[in-house]
Order: sequence, then C-alpha cells, then structure tokens
Amino acid sequence: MALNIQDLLGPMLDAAKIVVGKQWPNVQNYTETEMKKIGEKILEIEKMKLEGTTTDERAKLLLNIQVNASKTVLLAVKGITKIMAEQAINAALGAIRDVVNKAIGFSLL
Amino acid sequence: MNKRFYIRTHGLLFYSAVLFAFILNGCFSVKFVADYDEAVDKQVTELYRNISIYMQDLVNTPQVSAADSIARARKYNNIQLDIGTLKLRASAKDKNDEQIQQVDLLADSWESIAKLKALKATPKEFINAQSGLETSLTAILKLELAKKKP
Repeated sequence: MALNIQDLLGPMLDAAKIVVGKQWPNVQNYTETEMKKIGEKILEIEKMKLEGTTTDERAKLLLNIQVNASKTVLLAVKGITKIMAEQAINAALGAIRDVVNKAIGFSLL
Repeated sequence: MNKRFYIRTHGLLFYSAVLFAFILNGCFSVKFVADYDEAVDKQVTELYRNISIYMQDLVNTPQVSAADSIARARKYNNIQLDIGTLKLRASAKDKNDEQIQQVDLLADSWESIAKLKALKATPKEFINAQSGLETSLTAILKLELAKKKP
C-alpha cells in the first residue's frame, strides 16, 4: 500500500507538539514546513523503491538521513522552546526587580 | 573540629559566596540553554556551503576517474573533520545538549553519504540525501540563531 503525506505528517507533528507543549503556536510554521519537506522526501524514497530505481540497502541509508533530519528539527524546536521559557522567566524577574530591590534595600535581583 | 560543624560552616560559606555573587552582579537570571556563539554560526554556514557544493558535484558526476576520486575523498574527509570541529565547539559549552545531539545526527548522516557513494547511488538519490542534510544544517543554525538575545 502506497503511503501518503498525511500518513507521515500527522504522527510527526503530534510528536513535535508533545515536545513543545504550550509553545506550539510559536514554532508551528517552522515545524510544519520542515516536517512536510521530510515527509515528501520519504515518499520519494518509497516511490524509487516501487519503481526499482533504488535498492533495499540504499533506501535504508536514504531513510536514515531523513529520519536524522526530522530528529534534528525536533531538537531545534525543543531548544527554542527552552529559550522561550528562559526569556519568559527572566522577563518576569525583570518586571519585579526594582520593587524587590527597593523593598529589601540592596540589589538582589 | 567535628565533622558536622565543618560541613555547617563550609555550607554556610558556600551559600554566602553565591548570595554575594548575585549581589555583586546585581542581576538574577535563569539560563536553560548555552549562549549564542558566533563561531558556531559561521562554522554551520560554511559547512552548509561545502556540503551543498560536494553533493551537487555527486549529483552532476556520480562516477569519476581515479584521480578525481582521490580529490573527492579528500573533500569528503575535510567535511567530516569540520563536523568533528563543530562537535568539539558544541561540547565545550554547558547546557548545550540539543546542539550536541544535532551534530551527532549530522555526523551519522554524513557517514551514510559515504556508504551511498560506495553503493553507487544515482543522482536522484543524492538529491534526496542532499535535502535531508540541508534540513539538518538549517535546524542546527535555527537553534543557534534563536540563542541570540532579543
């Protein structure tokens, strides 16, 4: 049975959503674009296999490269999510800095 | 001096030193990911360029003469060394786990290119592989650029 892009894209994006949680809207565009690209390349490998223009061994290597690419995109998204959390916490600390420092009489924050 | 007293005084000294550092710094902030590194930015951009040139060459002329094959092998090894240098730079920083894993995956994909070459892959297959490598490099760069302070 031939694959279609939705068979691949759905599970890939679900995995990405789990990694980023509430930050999903902030990284959705990038993740969807990249995962779609990878999904299309996987379909291409399947097509080459069906046409007989690639061998099992070469198809496995090509698939390995595409799987590595999708993992790399997920790692980027995970890192970006961490950076966003870091910025949110530091902004919150920054917002109370003056009040706290004034109240305790020295620069704690 | 008994052991409990020693631990208590030294523990107190440690926490005082940390508090003093914050006071001196006058700024308390959290950090979950390593800082932006311009050298990594440049290395990844250069790597992207060299890999694209190498892959384009494979697409245009998959099989070459013995002499050209040696030159091509040298270029492959140079790129492998560059990936190793990138790994070294990424590993030297704390809180950089995602990038270290990204570079490991890139190194693994690069090894797959050597195997594809040995198995006499077609230009169409190399184009497919090139796309995967470029997506990986873009993701590494995307994370590095996100580290830049707003």
